Amino acid sequence: MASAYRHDVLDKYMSLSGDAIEGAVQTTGLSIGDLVNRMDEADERTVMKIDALLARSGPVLRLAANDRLMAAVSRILDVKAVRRAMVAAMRKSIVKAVSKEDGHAAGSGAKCAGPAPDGKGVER
Amino acid sequence: MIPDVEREITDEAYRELEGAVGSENVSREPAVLDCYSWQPFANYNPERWVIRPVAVVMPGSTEEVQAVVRALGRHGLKFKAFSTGWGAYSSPTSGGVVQVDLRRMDRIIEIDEKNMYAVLEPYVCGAQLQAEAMKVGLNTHIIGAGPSCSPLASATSAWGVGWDCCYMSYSGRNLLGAEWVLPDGEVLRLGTLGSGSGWFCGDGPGPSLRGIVRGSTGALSGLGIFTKAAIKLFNWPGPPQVKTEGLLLDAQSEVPENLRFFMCFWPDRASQDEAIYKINESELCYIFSRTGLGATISIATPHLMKILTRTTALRNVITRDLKNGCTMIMVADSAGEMAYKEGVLAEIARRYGGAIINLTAAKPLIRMFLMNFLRATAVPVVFRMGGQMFTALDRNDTWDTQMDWATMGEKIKQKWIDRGGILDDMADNPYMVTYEDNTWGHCEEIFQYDPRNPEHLAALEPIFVEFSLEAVERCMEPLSSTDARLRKIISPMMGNYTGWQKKISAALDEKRAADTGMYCDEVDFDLEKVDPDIRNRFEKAIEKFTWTEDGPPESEAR
Repeated sequence: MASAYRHDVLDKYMSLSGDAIEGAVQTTGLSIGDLVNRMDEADERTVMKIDALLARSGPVLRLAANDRLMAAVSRILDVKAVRRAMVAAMRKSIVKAVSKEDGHAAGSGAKCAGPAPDGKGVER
Repeated sequence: MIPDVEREITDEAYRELEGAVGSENVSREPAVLDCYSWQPFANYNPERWVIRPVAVVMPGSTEEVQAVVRALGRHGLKFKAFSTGWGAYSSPTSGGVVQVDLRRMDRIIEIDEKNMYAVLEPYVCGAQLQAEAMKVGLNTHIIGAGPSCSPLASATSAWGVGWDCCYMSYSGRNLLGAEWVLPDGEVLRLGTLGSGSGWFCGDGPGPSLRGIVRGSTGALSGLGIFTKAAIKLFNWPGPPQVKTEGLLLDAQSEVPENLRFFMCFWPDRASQDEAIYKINESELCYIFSRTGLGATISIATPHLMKILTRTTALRNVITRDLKNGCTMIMVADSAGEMAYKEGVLAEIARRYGGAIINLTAAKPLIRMFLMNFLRATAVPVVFRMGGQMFTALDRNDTWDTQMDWATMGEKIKQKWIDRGGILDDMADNPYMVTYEDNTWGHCEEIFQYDPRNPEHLAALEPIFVEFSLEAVERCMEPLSSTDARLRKIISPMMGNYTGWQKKISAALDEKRAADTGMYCDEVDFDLEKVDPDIRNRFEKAIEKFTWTEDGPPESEAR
């Protein structure tokens, strides 16, 4: 992480994340609080999948400590098209995750109605 | 069930209170009194609650407070002041106590822009004062209990830590002139106010009584009732109003141009501690705290936290890889000043191998976080995970000793998490701040519990005892000031301080009109109920550290 910071990757990534979250908020009509609450309702299987993925990501994470690689990533993140694509991809992931969690119709601009009556997320 | 320890107030005494404040401002209705018998924090025994007052009275002026106090003295009743409440500390500790609810005294009397202070009554809350102060480019310290609490109460009578302490100090240090109704009803004016020179200084001309007023914590109404106080204000370089919509996690505020929000992570504790000393020495921060990442997750997403505690890699990231971190808000009066501060922070990060995340760049997030930190409005979410929380704090001291306390606290917590005595928040959940851009800091180890869970309730007392013992063994002061049992044990190890407090109390309160349960009263601690190992350690510590008539004991620990 220190390497990513040194090469401004963290700053650039935070900015892109912010844009993606903002886009997701506009697309779904949810508030930031809603998004946080959807995250809070994450399914255990999903979290465990991420955990397993992270456990297998050691070599990739070690690459992230490589200064030359981070310098290259930083330059790539300066490319407008890359930034646009990353924001779009992250926004899409957030919208998809949120829609999966509560069955909300992405793009409707309607406020989320909350979890299903049985307290579980609606699988689609 | 509420214990039957209260005495009734006589009709004669009640009529005198009505005469003092008007019949509409006094009550002995059981339903009303029961409303005062519960406060959201430190009320850890739902079967006991706090003790019901015999009456509640709401004076609207200093003169009415004087009349109330005198009436109670005449009838052998005690008083306990209550400004905005929050903890059980503001409630009676024995029978025969009248709750003096100061909510009618809710005015900001003056904001002196030039000399940077505000004169307040007891029921002014932090948010109210901050909103008014910001209009003139000033700001006020807001305590960790949140913006609904009274700055007067924390400045005169009780603790005073908050996220902004790096810039705006500790409440007791911000107290300037004060108006104090003594237990006999006389009014004492402190600081420059006492010599007719206005409110600007808390220490004279002449001898200061601030040490007596505050001590290390404050007397929690044990020495009288403060009816007005001047509080120091600080620079606010932001707009006159931070426009905000929504609350807590839904809040969205307009972020001032000259404000930055950073999270910093360090490779290990040694680097973190040195970096924190440098950050404070360089006077970079407006808000500074070290909060475990697990703590943040547990309050923002408590259900997710429960799942995360069962993970391996994710848990390692939170508790190991991102363990050493801090959060800060920077403000500046100019772009040049901000560039300088950012440059210094970058240099500190370079020197100590840190990584800094600029959350200001993630606009929706900083818009949510801003007032939750700047006004400390995030505090209620701490109660989300289990419904209740409690804390273990030692005495404010150097950052290194506070980190030692955090490390030790994490170990105690982990043990009780493993036993099912408290909720799993990944253990590292300290509330840590620095004071006055200095090496002086604060640490309290937060733990969360479910008051509906009998195992959790049963664990609270042993956890309290264990933390207290650890503090004693480290020559630290535990949270003793409000527990009459612990005070009796700790005082002989600390120069018999309660002996001095009792002398002060006797001098100011001949008729014993103040409820001194949170100030200088002492009761026996039944160590027989404590785990034998812990009891043995406690008894050894008492033997080792107790002062003799000649002074502190000779010991290698000292």
